[in-house]
Formats: sequence, structure tokens, C-alpha cells
Amino acid sequence: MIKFVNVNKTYPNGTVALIDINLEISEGEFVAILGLSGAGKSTMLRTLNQIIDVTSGNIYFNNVDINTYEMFGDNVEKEIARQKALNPEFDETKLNLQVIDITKVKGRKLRKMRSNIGMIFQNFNIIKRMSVIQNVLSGRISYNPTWRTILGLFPKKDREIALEALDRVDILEKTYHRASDLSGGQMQRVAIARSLAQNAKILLADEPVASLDPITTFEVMRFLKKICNEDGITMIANLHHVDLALEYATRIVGVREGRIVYDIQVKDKDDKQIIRDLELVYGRSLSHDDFVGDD
Amino acid sequence: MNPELIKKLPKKPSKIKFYSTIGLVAAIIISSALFSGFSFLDIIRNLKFAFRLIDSMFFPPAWSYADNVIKPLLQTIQMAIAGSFIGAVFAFPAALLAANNFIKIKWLNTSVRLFLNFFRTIPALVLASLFVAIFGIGSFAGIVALSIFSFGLISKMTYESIEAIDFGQVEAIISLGGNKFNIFRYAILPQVLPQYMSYTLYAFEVNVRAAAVLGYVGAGGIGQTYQIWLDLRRFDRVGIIIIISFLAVLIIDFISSSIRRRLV
Repeated sequence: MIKFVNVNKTYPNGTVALIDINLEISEGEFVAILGLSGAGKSTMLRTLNQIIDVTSGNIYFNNVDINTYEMFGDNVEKEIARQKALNPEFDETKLNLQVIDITKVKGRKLRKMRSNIGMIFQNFNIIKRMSVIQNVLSGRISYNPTWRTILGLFPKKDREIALEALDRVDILEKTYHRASDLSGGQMQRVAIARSLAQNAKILLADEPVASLDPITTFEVMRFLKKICNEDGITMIANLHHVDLALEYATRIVGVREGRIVYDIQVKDKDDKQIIRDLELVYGRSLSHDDFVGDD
Repeated sequence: MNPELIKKLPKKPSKIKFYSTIGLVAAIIISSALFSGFSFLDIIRNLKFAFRLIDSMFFPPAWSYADNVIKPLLQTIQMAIAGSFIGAVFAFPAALLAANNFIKIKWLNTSVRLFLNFFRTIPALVLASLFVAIFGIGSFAGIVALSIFSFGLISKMTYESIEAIDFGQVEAIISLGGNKFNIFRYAILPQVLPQYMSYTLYAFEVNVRAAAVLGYVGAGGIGQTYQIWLDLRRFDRVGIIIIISFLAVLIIDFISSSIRRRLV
């Protein structure tokens, strides 16, 4: 479970990005964050993994092992079983699970916590001058000593993890291509594979499909939905298009001028009603531009 | 014309700034020429000496001496290679410290930059004469001078490239739990490596030209040979040295810049 408690963020230049954010997100949810540009959506995502620090407030994660800073989430038994499958020597008696406030964690511990949280970006942010496999292997950096990552000498086990991740997003045939040779949709799939290799339990997606064409958009969204369902990953995605949120998300959170003004479970409400409600979030009536598809 | 249109039209911007800029630049040029005692008359009056010198240098040059030029020329190129290489090795770490998007410590960025600027403002020739006084006559002093000069040049251009990288890739590595070394290796190095190599080659081009004159202060290379024959007024030998150096610089520039074009 992720819990924002009274989170505020004011940038050094005086811009107020977040005001009194209180939000609880449970494991396995697919949360779509909607709102106009500049409403604070990107800031909210980046406070979660502390790429941007908060001005005040706390962001809690439950069941974090304070020895390894590995997150065990809401369903501890299931995560222990998964860890055992990955590593036969895993010893659950050494676990010390506690609630951790990520805004208070620094240095190596913060980096360890971040390794639980994957991130997908609008511009993909894969390393264009490296091969696809090297990009996915970079998802393993926090699991390896620095000298190995600098020399690019990842253990065989990590290479297997990377190749499996590429296979899951259906792009294994591009393994040895240079990343810059890929199309936008393929780059985003490599980025998803990188998060898979990272073994992320939470996935933050900042406008993941905003630079893709409609067909690729649905393809990438399907992959995101698929891996979240299969691995029980919690997904928090800033989206531009209302129909994507209605189709893929389980929950919609509306942000306006730094505040959460809307929060519903998608299954509880009729789509048309949600669309009407969203006019409050956007402060205007929805138009054709707010949808990817035709209807 | 439509009077409505004229009323809506904004006022024409004044041209005063344009004319005053031209006036100022002209005044600076003319006064510099006056103060430094430049005169066209002197050029015309001394033209015949210039022609006489050119005649004794190139008509004909001492072709038979060409063989002896090759060795100091190679030494000059070796000095340039060593200087750019050593400078480049030290330039990268310095550039990382100077780049304010990698190390976000303002006083450190600023002091490293001041340090780099300091080295860049001293001409290679001045550095060389300094090191000749320290290490004695010979190419070692030249190499040290060229290293320091290349260091200043490459580090300045590299840190500017580092500051211009796509920061999204850095964010991605941070989000993966990467430390500073990981960020350097995965987000910065791949993005700036081609530029860095290009700057190193550029420093090499500049160094070849600089190395050719360093011998004049006793720092080795072809300049030393040049100085000897100039002092002995053997202008035909000076001529062949100039011709061969010119060709060497031309060829090196051509090769180096065509590699650089392919890099970036």
C-alpha cells in the first residue's frame, strides 16, 4: 500500500505543484491520474520515487524489509513465495517488515527503495546509443555491485532475466539492435522490459503513450495492463486521454491545480457519468482531443 | 493605403541602435589601427623586401633538405598526439565536476570552471616557454604545455556538452536505483562520448599547428629547426620547412575533420 499524507510541493521558483495530497493506493490497482498539463500529475509521480522531493508531508510504503529495502506490499505471503522462486536461499525469518516513509530515506537506502519502483516516460528515456539488451540489463544495476555495472559485466542470471523480459513484451528479435534504430512503440516496450528486469512492484507511467500514434498506443497500453495483471504490479499512470483511462484503469484520480478533486473506482460508475464528472477536473467540457479512439 | 490599416500598424522601430552599433565598431577598428601605428604606406614601401624574401625561400626551396625535415615534423606530430591524449584523459573528470547537472554543488562547479578558464586563457606558447624554464629545452616541455592547453579546451567543450544532454535518460537511471557512477556510465557517457572524441581530435588539430611554433621557445619539434635556419638566414631551407609543415597540417586537418564529421 502506498499512502500520501498531506503532501505539499512548492518548487524553488515559487510554483506550487501539489497542495495537501492525501491518497491511498492498494496493491494491484491500476490508477489513472487525469488532469490538465501543469496540474501537478508529473510532480506527484516523481515524489513517489523521490526524483522530486516534497516540501512537506509523508509518503508511506507498507511492509518494507528494513534490511534490504525490498517492498513486500499488501500480500506478504505471495511476495515471499515469489522471492523464494527467484532465490532458493531466501530466508523469510530474517525479514523485518516495517512501514517506511520514503521522504525520510536517503542515499543507498533510497536507491534500494527506488529499485522497487519502475518508471515509464513519455520520451521512453532508453539509452539510445546502447543495444536493446544493454538497456534492459540496466534495469539490473541496483542488484549488482557498481564495478560490474560500470564494466557492463552482468551475471548470466541477469542476462536470462533480461531476455525473458524482452520476450514478454514480444521484442526478443530486436535484442542486439541499437536502441536508436527502434520505432517509438518498440522503444516503449524496451522501457517496459527494463522495468520488468528491475523486478518493479510499482510502475509509474508518466504519459506513457503521449508520443505514440493511436494504434501503437493501444498496443503499449495492452502490454502495460498485461504485465500488471500477471505480476500483480501496482500501476500509476498519468494519462492524457479519457478513453484510455476508462478502458484500462481500475481507478481514476483527477488532479486540478495541485489538488485531488476526483477519485473513483471505474467499475462503480457508468462511463458517461465519469466523462461528465471529468468536466469538473478539466474545468471545461471534454472534446474530441481528449480521446484516442473515435467513440 | 487604407487609413484604418495605417492606424493599426505599430510604430516603425527606430534605427538609432543599428547605426550607433556600426559607428562604434568602426571607431574601435580605426582607433586601434592608429594607436598601434599601422599604416598601408609601410606595407607598400616594404613590399619589395617581402618579395625578395619569398623569392629566396621558394624559388627554389632547398628540396635536398626535405629529408631532414621529416624527423622533426614527426616529432611535432608526436608531441601533438601525446599532448591531446594526456589533456583529454584529465579533461573528462574535470568536465564532470564542472557540469552543474551532474554534480549539483554550485561552489564546486564554479571553482572548477574558474580553474579551467585560467588554463584556457594562457596561450600554449607562453606555457611552453614557462616549462622550458622548468624542464629545460626539449620536446617534454612542449608536451606538458600542449597537455595543459588541450585539457582546458576539451574540458570546457565537454562540460558544455554534458550540460546539454537529454536529462530524461538520467532520470531513468535514477528511477532504476542507480548511483552517480551508474548515471555517469549509462546516461552521460553514451550521450557525450562522440562529442568528447570529436573535441579531442579538434584539440589534436589545433595542437599540430601550435606544436609547429613551440620549438621557437625551445620546446622541441619542427619550430626548433625552423628557428635555426632562420637565424642562419638559410631562407631556402626555411622555405622547404614551411612547405612540408603546410602540407602536413593540411592532410591532418582533412583526415581529422572527416573523422569528426562521422562521429557526431
